[in-house]
Amino acid sequence: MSVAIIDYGMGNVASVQKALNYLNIPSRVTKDSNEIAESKFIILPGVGSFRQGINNLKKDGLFDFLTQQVQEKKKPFLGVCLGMQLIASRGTEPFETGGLNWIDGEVIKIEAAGKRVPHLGWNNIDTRNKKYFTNLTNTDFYFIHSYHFKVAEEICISATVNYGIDLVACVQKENIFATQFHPEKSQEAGLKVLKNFFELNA
Amino acid sequence: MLKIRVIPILTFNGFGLVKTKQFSNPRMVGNPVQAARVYNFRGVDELIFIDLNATKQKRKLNLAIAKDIIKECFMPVGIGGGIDAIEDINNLLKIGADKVVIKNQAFTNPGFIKEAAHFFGSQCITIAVDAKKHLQGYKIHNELGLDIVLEDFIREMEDLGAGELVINSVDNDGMMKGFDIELISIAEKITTLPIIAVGGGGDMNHYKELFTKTGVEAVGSASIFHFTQYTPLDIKKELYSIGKPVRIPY
Amino acid sequence: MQIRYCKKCLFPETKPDLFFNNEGVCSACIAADQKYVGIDWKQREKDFFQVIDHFRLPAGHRGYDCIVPVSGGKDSTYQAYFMKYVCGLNPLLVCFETTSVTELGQQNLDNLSKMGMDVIHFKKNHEVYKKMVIEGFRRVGDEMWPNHIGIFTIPVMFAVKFGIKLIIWGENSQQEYGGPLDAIENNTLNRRWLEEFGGLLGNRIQDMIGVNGLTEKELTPYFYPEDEELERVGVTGLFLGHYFFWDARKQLEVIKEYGFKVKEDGPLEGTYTNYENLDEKLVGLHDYLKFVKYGFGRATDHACIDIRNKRLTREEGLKLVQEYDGKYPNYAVTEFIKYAGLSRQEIDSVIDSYTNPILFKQKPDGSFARGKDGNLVRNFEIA
Repeated sequence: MSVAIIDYGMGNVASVQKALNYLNIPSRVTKDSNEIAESKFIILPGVGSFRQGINNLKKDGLFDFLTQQVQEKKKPFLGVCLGMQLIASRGTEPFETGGLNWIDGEVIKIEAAGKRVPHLGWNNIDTRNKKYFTNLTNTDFYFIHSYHFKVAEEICISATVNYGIDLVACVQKENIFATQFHPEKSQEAGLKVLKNFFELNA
Repeated sequence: MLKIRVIPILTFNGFGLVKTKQFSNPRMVGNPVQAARVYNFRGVDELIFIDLNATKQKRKLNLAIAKDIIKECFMPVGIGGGIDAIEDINNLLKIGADKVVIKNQAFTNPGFIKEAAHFFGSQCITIAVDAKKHLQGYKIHNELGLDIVLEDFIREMEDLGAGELVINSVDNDGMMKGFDIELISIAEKITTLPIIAVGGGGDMNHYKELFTKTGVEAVGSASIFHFTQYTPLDIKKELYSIGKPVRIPY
Repeated sequence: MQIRYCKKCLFPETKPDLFFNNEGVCSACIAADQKYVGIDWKQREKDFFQVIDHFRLPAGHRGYDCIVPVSGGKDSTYQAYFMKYVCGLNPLLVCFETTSVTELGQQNLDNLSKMGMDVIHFKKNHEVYKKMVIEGFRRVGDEMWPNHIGIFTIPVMFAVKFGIKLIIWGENSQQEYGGPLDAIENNTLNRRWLEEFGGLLGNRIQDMIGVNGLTEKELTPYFYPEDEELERVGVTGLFLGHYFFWDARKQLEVIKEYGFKVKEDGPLEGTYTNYENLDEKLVGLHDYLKFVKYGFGRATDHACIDIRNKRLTREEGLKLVQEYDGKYPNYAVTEFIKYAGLSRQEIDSVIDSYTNPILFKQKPDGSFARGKDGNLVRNFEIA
């Protein structure tokens, strides 16, 4: 059981790998298509702007390849933060850009009356689909984002977070699971969600 | 509901942790790894690590030390000191930092803030706003002799795409006599960016005052954790007792 | 890299809580100079006896006039001697045993009651204490962590329980080893002092709850009594070193007359003296951890005291430091393996994790380089 952590020049790969090491889950940081093909799981981490992320995926030849691995081969996929946003149909940061389009919806700037942006800090989530949220003693997770994924397919929303308005905290669709928060930075609760994801797809 | 963040701040002088008073007289307080381990065990909301001397000594932040610290942390980490290139930010994010804290470049080369925010996203770019009270109002403390008005600076940073402000009071730094409520109140009115209020926390009443009199959602402290029995959890329990939202880990 | 050393002694700028003046002289030396010229010791002595008279129980009353915390070491033996034989009080000695007591330490401890005083020997819960020793070693790189806290909290706990108002501590470490000015001049030991200067390294007792199942209740003796309890009894803790010129070597000669023994077969591990820290087998590990973090060890501490007390020149001290500081503490590590049940490999990896990569040479793979003698290679010169 090995995990490919996609390295496309968009940040927090080390933290994700550290969390997996802590859970004794073997992983490698890679952008090599052979290595990704060999892996049982794919994690797409990332911080940064939507457009930069998509451009980097394309530059590394990963845009179509990941779609094939996740959409056709149905490999268990975990997206984190920007890695969740990139699976949308399109983004707007800093201007309109097409996304991986695995889940219908768009990524837009957070606008909530009286609330500061970015949405930054620990916030509790409300889960709709509890699959990956069992045995949690605490539902606070770490968020840091200025844009949010406005999901068109309501059924795909597995958790929301309230920041003046309800924002999508997690999406889930078949083999795809993605979190707007950073499970790798959310201590016990985050590690538990990661553990659940890998155990239930093992 | 978003929880109030209580953030320990570690300041570094090149080989060890130091704590200043009013930005001078740095006192050596110990080894960074031991501090990171203590805070990780405590499950703190976030950690900020700043190399105070990197810019002054015209050197880069020591990545080996930063790595040693991040290695210990399962919580978000912001790192600052001597950052003046996209490459620097990249290096820090690569080893697991979540945000970078920038000070000097913000007034010597504002274009850099825009570039960095564009490249890494605003949420990644935190600005250190060190303010000092003058007769005419608050000015930004700097060692370059620049005359920068607090309000102008904050607005400019927001326009350039910064994602967060660490607002520190030079006068209250390390004194443990309470926060500069006036400063924080001015800042929160002119920006919609998240603010970390810093400078002056010394006992529980100071934190209650800060969160009663201002609307900020994060506080950073150092002295109280170095020198007294209080831990971040003690502060949160106190805030909880007056009805403020906090996260109690485990 | 360049480390700045005090012009008068051998303290480096990496030392926690040390300050330098514009002439490059450290705060410990400045405080020591004060001891020779600036302080009116006659006046302080008068002050002290006045204070003591205030705390002395009225004639005809049973009870103890004060508590003296003791470890079996030279300083606390001197404090006990002083309160009994110089001040004529009836002190209650409270001993918090060290982590792994040496035979000599045990003898000196047993000697205290023979000196003519009652001693409460607090036998701590070994399992609870050991968990904290191991956690302290891992979390803050100091296996003596629970000892630092216990020696301060337990005598205070007894003061509260027995209603004894005065506790006599020894020297103010801030005066002897340098510290912030207001701390050097301080004459009382209270909770704030313990948390700030007690060597707790930012880790608090409440941080030990949950470690290997430790409960708050089990940690009872390690919590400092609440302010209300202290106020009710009126407990005051005074530093004897604030009132009297503290000279460890001279005091040693006095207490030898009362049966105190030193190590006759050579110096202790990690230093050149044979009279400091006699009571603890693991002290070499504690001192070595300080060395890997800050680049100086116990020999520096001792040499600096001897320089300040004018028994060594700076040059002589430098030679001793170069010879004794920074040697891997084989004896203490072997004892620690026995005590804690950790493997040598794990112990070494914890030590490495605290080794400052700026101060010590690393190999390309990130591990620390070692010289022919097996010791770390400094990136800095002691000068």
